[in-house]
Amino acid sequence: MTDLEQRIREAYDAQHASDELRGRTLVFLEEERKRQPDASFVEVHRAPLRRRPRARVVTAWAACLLLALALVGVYGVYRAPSAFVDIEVNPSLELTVNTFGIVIEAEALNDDGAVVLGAVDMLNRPYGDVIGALLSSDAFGSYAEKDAFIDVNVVSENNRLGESLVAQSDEALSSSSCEHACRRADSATRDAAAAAGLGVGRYQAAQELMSLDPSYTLEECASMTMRQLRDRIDACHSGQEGDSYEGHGHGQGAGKGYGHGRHGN
Amino acid sequence: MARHGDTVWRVCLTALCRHADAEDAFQNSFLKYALADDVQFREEEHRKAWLIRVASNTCRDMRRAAASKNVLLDETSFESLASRDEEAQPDSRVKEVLDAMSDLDDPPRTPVYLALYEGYTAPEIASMLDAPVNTVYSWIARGKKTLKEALS
Repeated sequence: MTDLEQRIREAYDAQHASDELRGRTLVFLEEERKRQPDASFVEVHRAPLRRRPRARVVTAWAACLLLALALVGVYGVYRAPSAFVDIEVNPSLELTVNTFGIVIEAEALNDDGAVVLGAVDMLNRPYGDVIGALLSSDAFGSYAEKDAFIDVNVVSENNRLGESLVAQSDEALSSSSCEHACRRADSATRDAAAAAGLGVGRYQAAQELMSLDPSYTLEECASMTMRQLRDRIDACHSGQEGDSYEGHGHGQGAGKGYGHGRHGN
Repeated sequence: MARHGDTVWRVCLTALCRHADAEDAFQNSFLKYALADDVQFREEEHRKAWLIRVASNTCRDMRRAAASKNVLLDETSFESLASRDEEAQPDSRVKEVLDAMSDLDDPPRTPVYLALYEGYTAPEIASMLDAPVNTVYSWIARGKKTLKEALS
């Protein structure tokens, strides 16, 4: 320490805030506290390192907490499935749609579906955009040819959303050259289809075909395109109509004929 | 106030020299502290630095207010202070130093006090006084030189 520093130290060590000044300051602060009742005063004579959480800090934290909860809530709603859209051609896809009509999940239910899933970006996009992107993609478009049959089934407890998705699907598919059907389905059917490892449309068509011709198995139906299923169903129906007009025996013959046909395919 | 009352007092006294003005600055500094409920101090040293900064600003504001009203704050000497406590300041050495300090302009008076007595570095003082570091270096050097000459 230099001489100058030593002398400065000596001089200032002798300077103290007197007890009288401290006392007057505390009185002054008390008067100010009374004069400003709304102001938040700190106890200066105690000078705690950790002060009690005060209203502003608590309010700020509460606001942050509420904001975080709101964000979590909105995200939760965003991630909550509100509808399932089953799209069957031969690619079999199931899209999960939230209450805002946004596709939040996409699942392939067969190998062709997996190829389409890898080729088209579907997540976090409005359903209308997704169905448009699907139809215009090479991966899906090659299946949606003139002789194809596209079956779209919408499962939703939300009537407004369900109808909207059916309408969007119908509108998008109307511009394609292939035959299509768009409709609502119930969740029990979806559960049964999922248990069989099929999409809703394919499951319903398989059930219909097996009821018309019990020689078909679920496995065989699963391997057919929707067009093949529809053709066989239509053939069965026309065969039954033939039965009613032309008498017994014809139905069996027709069944055999379709059997050969499907193997040929 | 128990921990840092003396520090705040010395800063006010250094900046304003006059006892009555320093007392006003002292009270106003602690009023600002009492009202600053949104400031969280990491440690005691942080609190001390904050108080020094507030006291320094309070003194500066008082000087500006006085200047705008054409009222001269008495910065002529620490004489009245030095003579208040004869037992604590038995010789003229203390008075000599305080007079030499009061003869300095401010700045460099407060930066010199912060550097030589409180032991703060130039960057720390620059942060407290909102001044460029190089300017603080030159203030301290100039103040020390003047003090040495006055006390030699």
